Amino acid sequence: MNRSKYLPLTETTYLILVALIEPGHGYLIMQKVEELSEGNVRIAAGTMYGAIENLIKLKWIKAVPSEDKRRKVYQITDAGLDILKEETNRLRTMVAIADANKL
Amino acid sequence: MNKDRIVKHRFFIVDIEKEQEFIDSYREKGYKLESVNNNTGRYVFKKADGEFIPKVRIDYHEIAKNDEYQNYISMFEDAGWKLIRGSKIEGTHYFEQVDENTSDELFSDNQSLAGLYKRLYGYTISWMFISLALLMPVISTVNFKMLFENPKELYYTPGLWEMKGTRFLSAFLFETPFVMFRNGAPFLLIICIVSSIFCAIKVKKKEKQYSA
Repeated sequence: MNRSKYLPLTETTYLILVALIEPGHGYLIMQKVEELSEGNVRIAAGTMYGAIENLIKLKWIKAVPSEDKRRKVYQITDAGLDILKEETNRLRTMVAIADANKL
Repeated sequence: MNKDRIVKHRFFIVDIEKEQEFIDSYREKGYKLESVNNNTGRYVFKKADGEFIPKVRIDYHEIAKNDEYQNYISMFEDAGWKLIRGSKIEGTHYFEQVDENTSDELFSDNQSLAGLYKRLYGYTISWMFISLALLMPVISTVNFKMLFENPKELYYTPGLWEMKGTRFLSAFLFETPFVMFRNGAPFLLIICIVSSIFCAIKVKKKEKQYSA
């Protein structure tokens, strides 16, 4: 299988995609990423907005209908889920290499 | 510096980081940015005693759709950044921290800073094309031959160049604004084009610096 040219993903992209397995608006994603990373990854507002724009362009996430008039709610797409799985497998391989070398 | 209010005039154009540093320098001296107008380059700082002085940070974004613009502003608000200047038409947005819990910066990685300068690059390039488009219909009115070979003919005052001393000087200075006005529009546009190219090179450099 050909590896996607988008791999490896940045930590930020990876965590945003994980956060968007469940739908959520921009600020919710920021909070979720901080929570998932136990406070290690904090995405600032400008960076978050730009990242959403990018992921929408890549069609890895999409805006979904919501009640909220002021905020858009996003969710991961099938293409986004594929990339996320592919990256996860890559990371697993890396960890396996690390384990095999007694790291 | 014990004044209650300080008014400064400065133009930063595309140097967002320098502009932020400029605003920060007053914050460090205990002044809060009260208002800013990037069209006139006017900054008003007000002495803040003891209270929390918010940091001001700048983003550049042009968003045409109403609902998307609302979404953009809401996201910054949710994250503790209050819009103090900026609108749908002006791409430059000034945000201030709501309180000390707000993050220090609007951008937390180099990739998104590169994105900021990429957007600014698009802005400078569009300015260049607008100036070029405006220049096209008026360029023919400039008499280049006359300008470079015999600029004296741009002045219409009879006998001007035979005048002497203060009489010449006053007549010359009197007519100069009219000469500029008659020939000015194309030159102003050329200045616009040259400066937008200069700005474009500057932001492109910044973009490369951050995407490295």
